[in-house]
Amino acid sequence: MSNERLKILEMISEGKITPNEAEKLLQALEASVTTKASTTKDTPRFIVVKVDPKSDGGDKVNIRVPLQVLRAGMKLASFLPGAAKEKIDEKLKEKGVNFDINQVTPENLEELIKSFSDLTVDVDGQNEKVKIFCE
Amino acid sequence: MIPPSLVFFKITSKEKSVIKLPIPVFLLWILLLPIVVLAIPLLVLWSLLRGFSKLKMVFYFWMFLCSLKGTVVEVNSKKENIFIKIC
Repeated sequence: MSNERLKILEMISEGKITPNEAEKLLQALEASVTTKASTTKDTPRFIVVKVDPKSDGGDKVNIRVPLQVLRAGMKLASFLPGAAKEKIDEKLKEKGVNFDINQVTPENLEELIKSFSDLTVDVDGQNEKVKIFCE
Repeated sequence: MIPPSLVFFKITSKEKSVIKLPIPVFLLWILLLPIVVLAIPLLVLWSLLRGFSKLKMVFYFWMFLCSLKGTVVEVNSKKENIFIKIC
């Protein structure tokens, strides 16, 4: 029995709250426990890229890379010279990706990696199917 | 932070020939260990004189190498199948 539940039961025995009020408190407690359980997701460890050809002639590719590489890579990227970072930003913007590598902090990166657990990319191309997901 | 110790290659061709090649990368680390042991005091001295950025860079590069454990690359084509795993 959790401490919060014990406290609620003690308050009933001391007459501080009515049974109806205790019922509401217990329901609120259960709701908060359920919310906590649903929001704690396992942090994904790998990013997987699978390419399945539609015809027999194509190559089937399966690549699995640990997400730790992303963390270590971002730390190494902090040592890139300023001119190189600007060129990278320019090239990304040309491709339509408005992403500034300098804005990524370790906290942002961890949040981004946690959100990858829901990431699934399915591309159905002319010659192959590409699937990207995290596990 | 333990670096990869084994890189496993497997190449299977359609002529049924199979090449299985486990590469013991840990031997490379053992060979590099004396050099690293000698280099660390020099690196620390350099860092004390010129700032810690070089030492950080070496550390983050080591972290990058260690993070490669678990990488799997598999390519299945008409002529051959290639499998690479970093353990």
